[in-house]
Amino acid sequence: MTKETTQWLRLPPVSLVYFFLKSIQQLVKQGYQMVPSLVAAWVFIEGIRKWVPLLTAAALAVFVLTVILRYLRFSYQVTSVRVQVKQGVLKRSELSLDMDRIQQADIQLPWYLRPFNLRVVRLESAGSKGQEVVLVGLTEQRAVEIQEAVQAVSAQSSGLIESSELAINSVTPSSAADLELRLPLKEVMKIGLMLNPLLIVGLIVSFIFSNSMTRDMMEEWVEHFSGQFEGTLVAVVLLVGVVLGVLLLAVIVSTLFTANTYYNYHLQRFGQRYSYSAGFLSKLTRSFTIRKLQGVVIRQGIIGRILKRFSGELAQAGGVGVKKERFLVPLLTAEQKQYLLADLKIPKDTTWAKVHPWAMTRWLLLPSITIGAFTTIWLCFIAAAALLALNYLGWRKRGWYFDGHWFGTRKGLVGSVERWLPAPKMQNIRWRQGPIQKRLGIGNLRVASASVNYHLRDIREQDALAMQAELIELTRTCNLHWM
Amino acid sequence: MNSKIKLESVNPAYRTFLALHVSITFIFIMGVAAGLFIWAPFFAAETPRLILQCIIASFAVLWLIFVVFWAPRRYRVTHYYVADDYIGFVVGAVWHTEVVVTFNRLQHLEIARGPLERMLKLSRLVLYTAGGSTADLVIPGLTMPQAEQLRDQVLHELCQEELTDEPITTATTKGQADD
Repeated sequence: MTKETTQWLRLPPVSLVYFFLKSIQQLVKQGYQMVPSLVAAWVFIEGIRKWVPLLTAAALAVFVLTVILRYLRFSYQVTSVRVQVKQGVLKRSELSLDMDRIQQADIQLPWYLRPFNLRVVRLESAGSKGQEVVLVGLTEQRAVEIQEAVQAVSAQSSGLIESSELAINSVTPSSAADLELRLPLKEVMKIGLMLNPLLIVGLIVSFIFSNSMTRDMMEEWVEHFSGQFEGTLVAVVLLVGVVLGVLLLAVIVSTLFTANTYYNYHLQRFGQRYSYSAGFLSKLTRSFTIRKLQGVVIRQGIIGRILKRFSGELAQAGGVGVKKERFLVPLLTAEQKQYLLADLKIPKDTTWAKVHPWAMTRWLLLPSITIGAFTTIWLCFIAAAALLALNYLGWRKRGWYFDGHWFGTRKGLVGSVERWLPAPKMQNIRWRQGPIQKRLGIGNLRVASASVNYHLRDIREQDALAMQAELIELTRTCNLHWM
Repeated sequence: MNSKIKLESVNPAYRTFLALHVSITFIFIMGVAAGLFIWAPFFAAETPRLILQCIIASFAVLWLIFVVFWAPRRYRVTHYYVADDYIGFVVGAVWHTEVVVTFNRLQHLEIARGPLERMLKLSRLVLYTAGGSTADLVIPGLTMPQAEQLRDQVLHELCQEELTDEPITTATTKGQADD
């Protein structure tokens, strides 16, 4: 159990590295918007040029001083009920995070702390305005003590204390684990491929074409490159080669990046607590109690389908794009997927109910008419037929499931995304019906959870209203802890 | 929605609020158009007078439709209801929407008033759950005593709520797995 520390503690000096890295990250994130004005000042205010070295040195000094002050003004206190943090240079703040509100406790071993064998503890609170406390440079024993204190409080509040649950380190290999899943290196290498390197290429391309300077540079380079060859064919072949090379590089980079993140991935469950450890350069240990589970997501993209692999997420409070640190199971075979779903008591033989065929008409008329208006009437019909075929494929995958315990939705085109919500954890429900939908006896149902919203478009009115009534009944009569 | 639940109407002043709200939006659009006509000579010179008159006429007709037909109709189809453990809001005739929130999922609630609403002595009851960053249920067109009474009723229900220590979600225990 955690030793009570009623005095305010400082972080060790080595944690300055963390403050530097964090400040650089913030500077890059927020400061790049200043680049155009700095360039403009350089171009238009000639007198400023001679001051640049001095101004740079001054800015650097201010930056270093700010980082040091941020480190010096940071202090924390850990008791068995809460973690408190005082921080800030000009704007001082005092954050108090109750142990029972912490939904996830991570222990990280980043590369810069490896030589000192020190850890980073990252605590994240539940709720839509989730707060985060990061304690850098703690000894392994102290980090584990804090993680244990969080686990003890959440186990007490859920009334689920079990001897195995409060194991000293919940990710040490143990045959006593209720669930265990390991990813060998061969499997870890596939995660990078599944992340779809085309996305990375897309990001590079969108960056190049996002501003005129890089776009002009690129065009100039392509023209110069093509001009070096006599025939167009040779230039085209070489350009295709360059593109393929970039794609291959993206694959290698994304594979190495994910292999570093998920190296030696080991998922375990002791009692009601899931935890995993992974990482090569920086090691991460993450855990959370199932009591806080707000949904389960199982994904399979195009490459995942080819490799016959899935990825999963045990979702907690905080929606997509809001929550930074997610509890991921990056790769699952079909058997492992069933194993995990069964462990969460999600039904395995699911018959997905279909939505109304009217759903296939979405995004059909307007794009086709627009294409027809700008080209020919034939292209309008071809576009309509192509869109209808795509919508049909999407409609075939789209489905929903409800058995009184779990509510699930599935969508996709080539791959698929399955989302599962523990039914009584529903936050609110909305039923919407337009004039055409009313005539067809269909409508849109949105079930909101603390994690994501579940949308069922063009579901039959009869099914939707019956499900709505049952979900409301389940939620209103449920007096168990949902968070 | 349960057919036995009684739907409550909002205050009749909500109709005036809707009409005024729409009118302000239209006045703003017309103001921008008039500004362009007066201060942008290119716009006035290049736009044929007939097209301009048609645009102004259609805006006027649209405004009339909204004020004379839409606002009273919208008021008639705006309702809320309070059941034992949940609250619901129903709106729309052509595009029908119903939102339901159970009391045991409420995070917080507030009474909000804009300048127009203050003028008409109206207010809104806004309810928040953990699902989403914006308000989950907004009941407009309530008088201040109505909104306060509704808020107190919901808070009273929330105070009565008793939670057990057991969680909703649990993982499979070894015995269950063997079954």
